[in-house]
Amino acid sequence: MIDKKIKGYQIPDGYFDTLYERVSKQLLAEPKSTGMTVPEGYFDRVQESVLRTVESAPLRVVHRGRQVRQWSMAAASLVLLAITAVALWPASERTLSDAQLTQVSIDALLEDADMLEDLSLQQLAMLMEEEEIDNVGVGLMDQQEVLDDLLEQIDLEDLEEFF
Amino acid sequence: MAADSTRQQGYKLLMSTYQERLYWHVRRMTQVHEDADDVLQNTFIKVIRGIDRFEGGSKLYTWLYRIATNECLTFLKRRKSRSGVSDGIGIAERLEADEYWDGDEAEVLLQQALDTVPEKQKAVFMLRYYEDMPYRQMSEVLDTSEGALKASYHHAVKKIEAFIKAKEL
Repeated sequence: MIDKKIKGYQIPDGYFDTLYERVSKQLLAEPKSTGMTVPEGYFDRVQESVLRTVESAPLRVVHRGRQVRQWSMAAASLVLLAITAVALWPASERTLSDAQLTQVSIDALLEDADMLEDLSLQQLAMLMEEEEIDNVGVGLMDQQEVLDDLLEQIDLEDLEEFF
Repeated sequence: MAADSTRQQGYKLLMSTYQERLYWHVRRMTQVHEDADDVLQNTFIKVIRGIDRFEGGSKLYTWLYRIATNECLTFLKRRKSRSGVSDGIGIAERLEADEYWDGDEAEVLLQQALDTVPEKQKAVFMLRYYEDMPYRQMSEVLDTSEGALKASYHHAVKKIEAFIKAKEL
């Protein structure tokens, strides 16, 4: 009877020898087996919490690349500095003409420390387009993400361990 | 208005379908419920906000795992930098303080061992050991070659074994 039932079917060599091990592994994947539990009703509550957060902020914020966010951080710092400086610095100390400003890009300025020193902070603020200033707020909201990204880039020790 | 409601239903369906799988992945990585909760919520917020960018090039849950794993790695890095280099000891206290932990001594030892493994190796170990994720899929989740993943898994297993053996002596 048994022979008839198993005719034609085969099993891998040592299947039953490793069955317990494989079942144990599955059991280990169960939450309880790791000693971790979850509060009652947690999964119902977490949905509400996430949806509330999503509804409370505009969705377009995340459609921005790392580079853009880093630029926003730099731009935000410059605007803050500019606002402070305009209030504190006398007009006589502003050396570079506004006309000259149209000849250089903000990227070049950020890369060239000497050129940056020659500029008044008010002029720096003038260099920024309205759209860039709009983005400053977004950059500030993502400060932690930018810091995380930067940390990620410089953690060579972890990379070595990984490979 | 109707479109918003439909979208909400979609988000709820998405979360209902994947939240438990992602939660346990995140929980195993972060170990403590409170931390897992933060990471899971951030994951879903990013998923929902970025859902338009999902192009269907990979499976949806591969994409979700990718976001969740990145969130975990970022979180663990931050936690490590706050508390100094991990030596596998601090986790015992963290687990002890977690209301949602009821593991025995052996399970604490395993968690301590896992805590000594570098975060990315740990992610590989979790996905392979607990979730049986094929290396090909893991390669998409972690954006790493299959060869490197296999090496990482091997290193993680060796580290865990060495830690447990040292503790048992």
